[in-house]
Amino acid sequence: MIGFLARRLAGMVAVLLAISLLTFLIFQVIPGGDPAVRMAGRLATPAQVQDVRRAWGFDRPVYDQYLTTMGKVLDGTVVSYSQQINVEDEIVRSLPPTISLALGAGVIWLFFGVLFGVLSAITAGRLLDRSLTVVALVGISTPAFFLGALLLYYFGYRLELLPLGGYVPLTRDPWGWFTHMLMPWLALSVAFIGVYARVLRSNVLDTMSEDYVRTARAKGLSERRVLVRHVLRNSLIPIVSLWGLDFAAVVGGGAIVIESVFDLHGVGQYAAESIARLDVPPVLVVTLLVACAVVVLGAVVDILYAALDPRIRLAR
Amino acid sequence: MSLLEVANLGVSFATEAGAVRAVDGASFALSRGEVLALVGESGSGKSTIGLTLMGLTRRLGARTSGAATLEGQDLLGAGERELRSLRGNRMAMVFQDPISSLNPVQRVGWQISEQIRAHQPLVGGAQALERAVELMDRAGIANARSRVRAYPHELSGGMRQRVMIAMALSCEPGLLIADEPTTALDVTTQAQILAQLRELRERTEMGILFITHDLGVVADIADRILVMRAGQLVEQGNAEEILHAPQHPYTQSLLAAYAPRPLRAPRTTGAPLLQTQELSVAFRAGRRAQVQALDGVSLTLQEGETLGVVGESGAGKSTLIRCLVRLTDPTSGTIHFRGQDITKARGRQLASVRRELQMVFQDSHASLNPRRRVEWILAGGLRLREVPRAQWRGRAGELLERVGLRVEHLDRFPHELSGGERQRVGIARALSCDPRALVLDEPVSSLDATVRAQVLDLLARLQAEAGLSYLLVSHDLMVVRGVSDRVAVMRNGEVVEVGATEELFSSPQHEYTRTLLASCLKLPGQVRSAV
Amino acid sequence: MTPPPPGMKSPPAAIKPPPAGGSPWRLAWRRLARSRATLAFGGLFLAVVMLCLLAPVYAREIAHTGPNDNHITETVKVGGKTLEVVSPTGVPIGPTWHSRFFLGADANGRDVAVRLLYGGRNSLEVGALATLITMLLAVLIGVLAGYFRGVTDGVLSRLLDVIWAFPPILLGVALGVALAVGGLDLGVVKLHSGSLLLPALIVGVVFVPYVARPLRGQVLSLRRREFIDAARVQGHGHMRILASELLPNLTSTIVVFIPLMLANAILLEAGLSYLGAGVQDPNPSWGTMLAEGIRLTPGAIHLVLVPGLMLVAAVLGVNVFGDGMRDALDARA
Repeated sequence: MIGFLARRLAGMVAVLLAISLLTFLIFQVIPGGDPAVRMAGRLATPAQVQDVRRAWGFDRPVYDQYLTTMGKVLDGTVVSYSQQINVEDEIVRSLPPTISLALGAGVIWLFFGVLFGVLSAITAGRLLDRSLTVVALVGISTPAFFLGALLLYYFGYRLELLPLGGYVPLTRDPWGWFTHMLMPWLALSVAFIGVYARVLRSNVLDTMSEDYVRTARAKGLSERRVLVRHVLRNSLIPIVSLWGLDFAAVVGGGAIVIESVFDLHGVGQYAAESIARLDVPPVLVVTLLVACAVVVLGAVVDILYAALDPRIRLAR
Repeated sequence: MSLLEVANLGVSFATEAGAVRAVDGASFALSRGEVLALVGESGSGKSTIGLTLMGLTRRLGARTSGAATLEGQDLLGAGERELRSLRGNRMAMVFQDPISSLNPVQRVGWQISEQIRAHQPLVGGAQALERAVELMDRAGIANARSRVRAYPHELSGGMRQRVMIAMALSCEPGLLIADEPTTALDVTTQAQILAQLRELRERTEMGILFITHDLGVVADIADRILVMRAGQLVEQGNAEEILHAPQHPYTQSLLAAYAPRPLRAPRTTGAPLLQTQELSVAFRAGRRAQVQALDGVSLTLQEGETLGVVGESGAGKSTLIRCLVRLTDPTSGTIHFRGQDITKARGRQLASVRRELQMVFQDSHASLNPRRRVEWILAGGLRLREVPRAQWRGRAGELLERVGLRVEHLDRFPHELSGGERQRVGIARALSCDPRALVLDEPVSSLDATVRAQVLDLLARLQAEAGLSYLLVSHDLMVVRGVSDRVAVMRNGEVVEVGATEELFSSPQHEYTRTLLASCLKLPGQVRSAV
Repeated sequence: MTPPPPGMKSPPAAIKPPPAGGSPWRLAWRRLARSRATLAFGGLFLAVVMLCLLAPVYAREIAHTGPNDNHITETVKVGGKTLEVVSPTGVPIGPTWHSRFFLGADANGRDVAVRLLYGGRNSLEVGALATLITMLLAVLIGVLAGYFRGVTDGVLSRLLDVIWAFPPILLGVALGVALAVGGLDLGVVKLHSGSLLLPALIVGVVFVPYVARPLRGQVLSLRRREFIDAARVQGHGHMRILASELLPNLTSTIVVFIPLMLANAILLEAGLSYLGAGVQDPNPSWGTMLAEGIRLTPGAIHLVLVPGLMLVAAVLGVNVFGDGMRDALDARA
């Protein structure tokens, strides 16, 4: 067990190092042009540009810059190019909307995805299954930001039922928090509900044709018990790991678009705005953070999987 | 009143190609305390009968006709709820493959107690578990109390099957349907399980419907026999009568297929062709454990002879073969082929050895590329012999005819061939390199009994025609006995005994060989012709 | 150990007549041809593709304008009334259902229908290129990692882990913006910033782990099958085994992935373009059109609905067709 954990940890560190290197290269090295020029502004004199260059270390060799930047990241002292604010503070400030969005949506899509998937599987081939499959397919095919914009337009502007974007902290006004998050949650969840419903449907159908389910029926168990205790218990195991990975992906990716549409000022939107400004440090830190989250969650999910499936435990 | 009465049972399924009749008008009865064996080859419909009686074919869209009653209660027309109260309670079923028939993520004790509580809801959890321990103990599982918390994959095949039996018996059913319960087990384990079932029958007056393809098992345990073929019941009667004086031509051919092959006449064989000396293979299993798959195996295959290697699972037979054909490297020891040391052969040397030493695989289904036609499969060997491309089709056709197939088969895919035909293609493929020796890994194990004899005849003919040498590995003693000049017995990676077939079978030296021979189920005819 | 006679998962072995007519492909094709929904939606996607390919024809013959032509100060006659293309307050005209400005105009006075079709060409082209890149890379990586295992697998799997760990949109946006300004200049390969190959490359690389991992898994289990052993015993080399024995068994998995990846690629491109990191101005794309439309909300909702619905139609067509294809190749419930 210890050996396994140690190896896993080493692997994770290696991946994180590679990611930090890659991120750094992408942002510092590839972009055309001189970061010092960009930072100094359009009206700067060459001398001012040179000052900026020296102050920020752009004149030092690449690996030196990398190490310094990484040092600052781990120290918590990274400062944005264009705004002179501490990046990490800003990220912490932007976390609540992102977490609210990801967690809320995660719960919603897990619940409905599983529900629809099971219903679909049980009534396989019949009307309910077909309808749910259609709904799922349409859901998967609709970009989240399109759906978000539509919801905003119809429920926000036309019907004036829900607020027009922005974020209200849970602690300040729970109801406000809820009404502000409702449409973003829906927009984000729909595609995932579709995916999960189909994955679960497929898993459940596969499991139902397994030999041990036949044995369960041969034992004279009620259909409900067979379904819950044998079929579902086994079909849901892969869903756990899927959810963990998707959650991490949402925090890192899917959230950006929705945050932009609904103006939630979360981490994703912060990163998007920084990119538009060609402001590198925030993007660097956010990317690292998210990659970290993905890798860590990946390991957590693996461990959870082993806890749920005894066959995996012993294969170690 | 009989325990189970079946009258004119018919079962059909709707498939892509139309309705298929799996069972066509079967009628029989089973009394208490009786073991009725339902015998047939694959596709005969015997399993379908068992599943239909339990009502497990309803979900597969089966349409039934005729009647089946358990102690007077209608089985075919019963509603789901009625059927559920019967299943596991008054009638129970044991399936063939315990690894897939037990829920892999639940402990075995829990699975047994689940059945108890389903039918006796007043029994508490702890009490049910106690009962499970008792049942497992009576089923012959040692350390039942600790084993009760095990997961299925932590137990051996034999133990898993005992768990299934314990589970089936938990509510003391009057009827037990056993569908190939020992087919996936070792010979020695099989003998134990059968003994247990016999004891059960005596103790409880339970009626057992025993479904199997193996006549040896039938001879061992059955009171009465039903013979099925292509969905129809072709003969039924007392075990004695049927085994000694079968009436129906199909039954006769079935028994003939089980008849022991005559021993080979002693023949002169040539110089040692393939030799291993102190061959050992050790695997790392897990972090620190080492598994000794082969331990100092020294064997000689002489030119022109057939050496049979016999052993149960885990004996090391597969590892031995893989070493011989150089799919695996041995940890120590040497292999010599025609005097040359090929233990670490590579490149050109290995290529030339490969041309002379080929392999026939066990599972014809998996050993032929499912996405390739027969012609392409055979062309592989021809290409290596540097036969010009233009001649491939012709030569491939010739190969097929040598193994008893037709030229039309060249354009078929493996899934369009029967098991026996696929195995012939496998043999043709091995011959396509024009080898001197063949290593055969369980070449007939996955075939029906009637087909088995044909393939073994084919192998004998090919050997005579081309002067081939065979090293044939099998778990089936009777197969080995009928084709080998000499036999080696393996156990736990070691060779425990080697000798001429006749001597080894009539006066085995090693205790393990004796146990193995004793566990081997013999048909009445076989007992007599032991030599 | 005696392997059991054919088991009983679905109707017993006796019940399944041996599949008639040879090649697994022909069987699948027949099953596919029988599913009307699948064919209908496949047709829908093809219709969208056709329409977009005919963009120049539409622009020339019907709308009489190009995708980037500004008509901001002009007026147009609709049903007798003369309307301004873009109102003084900046609100563009909605769908006129006439040959000019059939689906309305955008804030710059450009014909939405024309942009839609040209945008479609770009979006679909990026999607197709990206899918090609994904499949090529994924097959290469997945097969090599699964077959050779050991160090090769270790390195390739770590590479997949790294790509996988990068939040796709963030990676895509970062690369997109970074490369948008200066293009890509690796000495050997030069891509200018307006090239469609850039977003295609980004989207393509992002999805590689999605396909490579399952393929690797399948290769791992295939290589243990006996026909691979048989090929080795006959002395065939690794390359021949990979190409001639293994690959034919992977083709149905690969084929099933293609529509799935195409759908994902089109969606990701839309997302990236929306954020300004995909197709660059002035090239239209469904994503950039959506960005404009969303910016103007609640002003001109047709600017959101038109590209959005077109996107959904195209992706839905691919998804349903892909589903049907998977069912045809898999033949389960």
